[in-house]
Amino acid sequence: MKPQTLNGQTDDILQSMDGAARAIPREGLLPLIEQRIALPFTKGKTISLGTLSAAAASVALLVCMNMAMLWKQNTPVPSKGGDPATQVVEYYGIMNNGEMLGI
Amino acid sequence: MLPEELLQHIAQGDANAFRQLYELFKARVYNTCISYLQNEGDAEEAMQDVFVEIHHAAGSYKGHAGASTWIYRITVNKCLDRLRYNNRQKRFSFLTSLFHKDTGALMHDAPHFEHPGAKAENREQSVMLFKAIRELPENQQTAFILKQIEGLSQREIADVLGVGEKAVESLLQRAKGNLRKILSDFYKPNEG
Repeated sequence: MKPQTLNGQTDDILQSMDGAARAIPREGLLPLIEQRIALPFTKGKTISLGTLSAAAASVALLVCMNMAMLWKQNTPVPSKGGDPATQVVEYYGIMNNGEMLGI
Repeated sequence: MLPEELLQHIAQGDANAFRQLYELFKARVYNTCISYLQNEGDAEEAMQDVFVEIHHAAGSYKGHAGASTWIYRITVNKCLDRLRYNNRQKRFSFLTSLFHKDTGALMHDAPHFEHPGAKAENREQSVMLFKAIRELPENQQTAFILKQIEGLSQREIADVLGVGEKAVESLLQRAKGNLRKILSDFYKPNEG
């Protein structure tokens, strides 16, 4: 008996809009529409998803390229000797103390 | 004047023809909008979008379909656009705020909707019906609303959707089947 009751209820619900009247909009909407029509038509203001994706990909590529270049520039020069003084001399190409002091 | 002729006049900038077309179709457009969106404010905004679109696109109306079919097609598209927008808002509501700042009421939640045209004795059932309609896929929603609420024939619905009559019949059958399932789920917790 229970399923029949349930079916009866769902049938009643499905048919609940039979013979219903149409909803009527409130007065005063037409002037609003006419105001909007009087404004310049702004079609085409939106950006398509494809264009947006292409722009995002370009920005991401630029950022990656910049990061790669920065990383390359900051890589320390490999040193042959372990002594810091030797590393400085090697880096600046200083051959002797006289040269370093500008004599 | 026939709606098709009114559209031709609108395309030529006749404001009076536009007012006549508005009077002729306002109830059909609004009733369709409110059945989809289940909210007066959204329905009014969608209705405005529809008539603005009719005005802008009247020149592109070629008369392949009846004016009524053409207007219903615009109405359905505008309502679906707004429904999708509302659903996106709901999906991202956790990123904004779930609750209204002043009232503390839950935002983005589908409120209780009573169709203004429902008969008093059927009001309670119609509330359940619209709650269930929200759960249907878009094309089934469209077929059901145009048939049961707007009272269009299967031929007219087929023209609006741009599909065959058989496809509409199948959509309606699936819509009713799904509504039965959804409604029986609503009743399950009450039966305990």
